[in-house]
Amino acid sequence: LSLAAPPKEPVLMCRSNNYPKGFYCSWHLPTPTYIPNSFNISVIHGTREMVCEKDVFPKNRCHIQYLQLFSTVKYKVTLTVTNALGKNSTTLTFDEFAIVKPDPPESVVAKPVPNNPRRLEVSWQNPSSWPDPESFPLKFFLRYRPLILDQWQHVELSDGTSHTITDAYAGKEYIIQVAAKDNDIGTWSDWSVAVHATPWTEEPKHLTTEAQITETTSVSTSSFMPPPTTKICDKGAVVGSGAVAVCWTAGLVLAAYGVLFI
Amino acid sequence: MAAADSPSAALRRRDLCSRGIRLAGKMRVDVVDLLDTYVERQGLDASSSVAAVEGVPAAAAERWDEQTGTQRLLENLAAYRAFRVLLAQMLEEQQEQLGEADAALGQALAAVLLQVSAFAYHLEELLRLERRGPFSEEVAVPPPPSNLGLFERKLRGLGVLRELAQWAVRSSRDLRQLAKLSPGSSSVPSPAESP
Repeated sequence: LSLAAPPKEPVLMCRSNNYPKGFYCSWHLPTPTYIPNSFNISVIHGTREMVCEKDVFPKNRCHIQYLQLFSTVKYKVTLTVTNALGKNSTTLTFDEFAIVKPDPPESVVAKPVPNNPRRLEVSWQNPSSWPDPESFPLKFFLRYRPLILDQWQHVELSDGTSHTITDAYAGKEYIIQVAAKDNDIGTWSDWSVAVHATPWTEEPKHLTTEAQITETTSVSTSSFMPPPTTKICDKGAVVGSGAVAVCWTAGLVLAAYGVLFI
Repeated sequence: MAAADSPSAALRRRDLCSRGIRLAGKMRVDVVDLLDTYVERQGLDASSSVAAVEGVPAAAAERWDEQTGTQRLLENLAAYRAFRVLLAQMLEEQQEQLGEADAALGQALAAVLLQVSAFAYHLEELLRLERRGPFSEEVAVPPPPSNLGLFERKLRGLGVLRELAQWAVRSSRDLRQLAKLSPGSSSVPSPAESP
């Protein structure tokens, strides 16, 4: 059995994810009242009272069109909730710019780059709710990390909807996300849906059999020189100068063993 | 002389718009920094409400998306000419009030004044390109009322800088809208977005 209660102070939030068209406000009660509640919202800008059109769904939201842009006058939004046992209200005051928060970027795609074991190509699209990216361009924040590590790498991008990661760990699966913000005002969006990608790696080669070694190589070096089908130090697998040095060393060792057994 | 709608004029206009957008962006960053410095040095509360200040051009615009390119340029030019005068007044007052005691604030004000002047000149270039001359006379900005107390003067300065910060954002949007217009169509409203 739940006891009916008067409403507690409602929680109200206002945000513009479609600047410069307008903004929306949404609300909820922190605890249920167990009886029907009615909500009334008023929006005042300077001396002007504006109409906040209630959304059909969700019911606890309304939207308002900007009548003025670039105003320094604050908006004052008051939400009053009433039920049979009482009423409560809350007020939010904010600047036009402060509530601008785009939706996250959409269609994030991350792909390996052929023959590049440390690169990942990431692309995304502006959120579809952002009405005019040409006049109100967005900037982006990309974060990525290998699944095996906790620390994110971050890149801020002032234009374009793609970026190539060039310092990925070879062969490691990455998780990547992107956020957006108006170039000049407001706050960052939430992070996009995460995408996963692994940099390109060369296909593993099959090990040669003993019979192939005997058949194809000369007496002097045959047993211990790498057969033609096996590459120890393939260029594609070389990551940097350190790895090149390792490859050369391996080659020298093998050659030395070959000479010893002539 | 190239016609306003010639290819070279279109390229020049695009170049001027791009540079103007960068100028406005830099100006905004500096004005926001100046605002922080001003609030701190003048001992003000950053959230103080300031009534509309006489002579300060309001950035607020109704039906902004329906303005023509020429309207945008003219309104911007009038605004920055006014800010040029207002910032010079603030600089003079600040020097009288504090003298050398706060050189940093004075330097920051002077730097922004320089940017405002440069931006006004840039807008004049754009208007000349649109062959929209002669321009109206320099705006007459009334001097601050002489009976204002020190605190009121500080609040007035806060109002000036806040409005300038809004203008810097608006100007980059205005120039982007202008850049979208085809050459020779500055008297036509910008393509309106559907609601």
